[in-house]
Amino acid sequence: MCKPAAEIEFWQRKEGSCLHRLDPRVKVVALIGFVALVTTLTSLFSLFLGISFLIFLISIARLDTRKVIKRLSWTVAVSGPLVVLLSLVTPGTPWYKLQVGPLVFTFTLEGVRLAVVLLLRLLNALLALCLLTGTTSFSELMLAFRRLYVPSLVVVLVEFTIRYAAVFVQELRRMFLARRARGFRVGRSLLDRATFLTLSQLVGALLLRSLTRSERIYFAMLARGFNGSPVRPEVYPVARLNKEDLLWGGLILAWALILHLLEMGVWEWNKL
Amino acid sequence: MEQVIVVDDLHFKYPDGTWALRGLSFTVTRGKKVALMGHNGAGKSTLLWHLNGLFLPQQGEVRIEGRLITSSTEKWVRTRVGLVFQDPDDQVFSATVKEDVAFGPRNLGLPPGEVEKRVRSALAAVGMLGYQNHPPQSLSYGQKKRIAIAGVLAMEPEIILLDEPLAFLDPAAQENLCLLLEELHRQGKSLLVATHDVDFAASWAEEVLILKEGKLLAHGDPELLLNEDMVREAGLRLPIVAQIFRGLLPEGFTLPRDVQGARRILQAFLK
Ligand SMILES: Nc1ncnc2c1ncn2[C@@H]1O[C@H](COP(=O)(O)OP(=O)(O)OP(=O)(O)O)[C@@H](O)[C@H]1O
Ligand SMILES: [Mg+2]
Repeated sequence: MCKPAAEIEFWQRKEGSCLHRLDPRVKVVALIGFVALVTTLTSLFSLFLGISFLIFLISIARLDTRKVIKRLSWTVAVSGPLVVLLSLVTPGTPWYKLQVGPLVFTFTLEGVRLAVVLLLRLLNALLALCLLTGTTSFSELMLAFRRLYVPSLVVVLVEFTIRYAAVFVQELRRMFLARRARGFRVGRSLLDRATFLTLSQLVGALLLRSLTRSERIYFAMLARGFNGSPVRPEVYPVARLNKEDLLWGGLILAWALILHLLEMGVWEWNKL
Repeated sequence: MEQVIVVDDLHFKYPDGTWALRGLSFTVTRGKKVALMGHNGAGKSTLLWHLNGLFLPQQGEVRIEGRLITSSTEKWVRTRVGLVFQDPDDQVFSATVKEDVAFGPRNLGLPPGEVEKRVRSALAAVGMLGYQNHPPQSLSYGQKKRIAIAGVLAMEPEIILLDEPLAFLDPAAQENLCLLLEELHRQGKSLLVATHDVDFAASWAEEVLILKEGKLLAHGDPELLLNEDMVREAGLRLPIVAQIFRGLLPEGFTLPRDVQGARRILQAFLK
């Protein structure tokens, strides 16, 4: 389970797929570039090609498919209703009429198309994000940001936000367990007075506890010599990018660029 | 002998108005094993936070290796003094165990190879080498406690403060921690351990500091813990071995404070 010696190479981890081993700076730049380019595409086919490419990369990286799908379904569940709403309020040629009792909903062709385009763009962005976070450890990612001259304050803020979000969730889980252990049932109606009271107290206590907890965590970090930049980038020699890094980064960006070029020319006629 | 910790008339009030420390003075000599004892809320944790420069004295002063702790020396202090927190959940926060242990050494600005070496030896010292890639959240409380200790060991501080290190450890892990503390002692580190475990303090410590309501109640060798009145006043108890022999020993014998002492007495009688 636990690999010896060579394994703790903190900054250039050698384990995992080639995408795991890719320099985090390259990944950040290439994938952010990819998202920026691909999310301005308008044809369904090219958006679809963007998604296929990302799925291809994800399969190379051997990410846990179930985790990826779980993540996607979350955001789709949130954005789905918005998309439906959008296709209802966009004027254009009627495409489908839905009758619910006395109400008639008209989906227009333009509306549906717009909705699908937005959904595909969203999927592109999310898959790219999954790929980035799935193949890059948190500290690598933060180091990459620093190396890419993102202001230190911003990086520290991001780090703390993420750390404290974890603290928050942990506290919540613990408090729920403690309440359940004393017979509190979750899942009853919020209208039930006792449930409501307990839950509102829980939320209050959660805020307070997270506050003191995060304060103590901060002190514990200070105690171990933390002074605003948890990793001193200057201590770690900046690794030179090798051919493989440049190749992969180039490939990812090139794919997005080609999609753009193709869209400008070839698929112009192929509007849905 | 060099005094590594000098606390003089230390006062501290929490923002809500609780006086946690009310005029505390004592010194610790280099290389000593000191037990810090006292009832719940006596101010042990608050004191340790001062010795690491996390809290600055509101009144009085604290010196580490002769240098006064102020806002300009607190960073230096943290390279000399390591503090293991009472609650490992406060201290352990990284995504993996090895990342967490590496946090301190990296803050010291050590090169990656050295960081790696220290992480491995610190994890080995607490018997957690096999858990490097585990997320700390998935560990038991006692295991997290050991990771917290490793996180400080990896910084190799001269002075090590441990807040309730034995609590929640299983007996074998307690035994190992005692051996580890012995080893650190042999390396010449100064150790200050806050604990409620009278038996541990009586057998391990060379000196005992007893707090009561933010004041120093007593400071001396561990024989202090055999003084019944003092022990009762401090909210402690006699060590178990002393309880066994209390009232049974003839003139000329003193109560034993650890197992070895008790065995010596028994051997004397059995002869
Ligand atoms: N964050 C805080 N805000 C206000 N008062 C506090 C805070 N932390 C501790 N105190 C108070 O300060 C006093 C000393 O607390 P401290 O935690 O130092 O005690 P302790 O000796 O470590 O106790 P224990 O054995 O329970 O760990 C207590 O009266 C406590 O109520
Ligand atoms: Mg305490």
